[in-house]
Amino acid sequence: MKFSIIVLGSPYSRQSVISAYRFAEAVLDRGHSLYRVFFYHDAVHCGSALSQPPQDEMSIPEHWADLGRTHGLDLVVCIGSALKRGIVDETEADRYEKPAANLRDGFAISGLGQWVDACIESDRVVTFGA
Amino acid sequence: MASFLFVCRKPPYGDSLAREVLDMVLAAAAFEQDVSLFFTDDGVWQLLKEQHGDAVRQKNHGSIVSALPLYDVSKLYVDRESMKERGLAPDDLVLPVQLLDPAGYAALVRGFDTVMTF
Repeated sequence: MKFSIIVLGSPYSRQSVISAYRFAEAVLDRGHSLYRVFFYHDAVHCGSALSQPPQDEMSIPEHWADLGRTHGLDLVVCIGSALKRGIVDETEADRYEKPAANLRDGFAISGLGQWVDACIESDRVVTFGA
Repeated sequence: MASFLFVCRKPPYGDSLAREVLDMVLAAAAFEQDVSLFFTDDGVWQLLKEQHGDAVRQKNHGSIVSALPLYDVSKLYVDRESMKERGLAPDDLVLPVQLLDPAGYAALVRGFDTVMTF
């Protein structure tokens, strides 16, 4: 089956973000495909290259990026949610003359069209709430 | 074309999610998908007339909701019990809605390709 996942919660503030990650792992372990993971609302912070958790806690952004790399996943951070929360790639940093870019490797910034496409193309879309 | 049902449970203003869900609704409509909305729990507050978002430095959520039919989004359903619990009547709302009981909602939700709950 082809799944897509929407993540809404803020990493480190909401358990639902880790639940989404564990669900993504389970989907892939069972041999299903994961078409897209769309990070919306506060979940755009999962795409930050700057997050530094304590040594004895999982790095949520790093776990997502590693899963993405291992399985060739499309991890999309929504541009509308990202810009206002200060998650920018090089293109947006240049466009808005920001002092730095901070999008983690393995994530792409794109629009809600990618989410609509994921809903059309996937057999199941699972939302992990805010 | 796919059919989308958005289940809206959050009130406006206190949490930006209600606004961001409307952005998703408009994106789905812009891509010519078949969009319906179901408001329940505190989500019914989103439909209230005479909102003054500017008083809390926010865009007026009611104005955005009332513009939905301009984007071909006019299938709006509301949980009857949620309205009653909050002392609201259809006349208090900014757009015409269809009131549903739980059985009505159960029948509604079966018919969609994608159901997203917020």
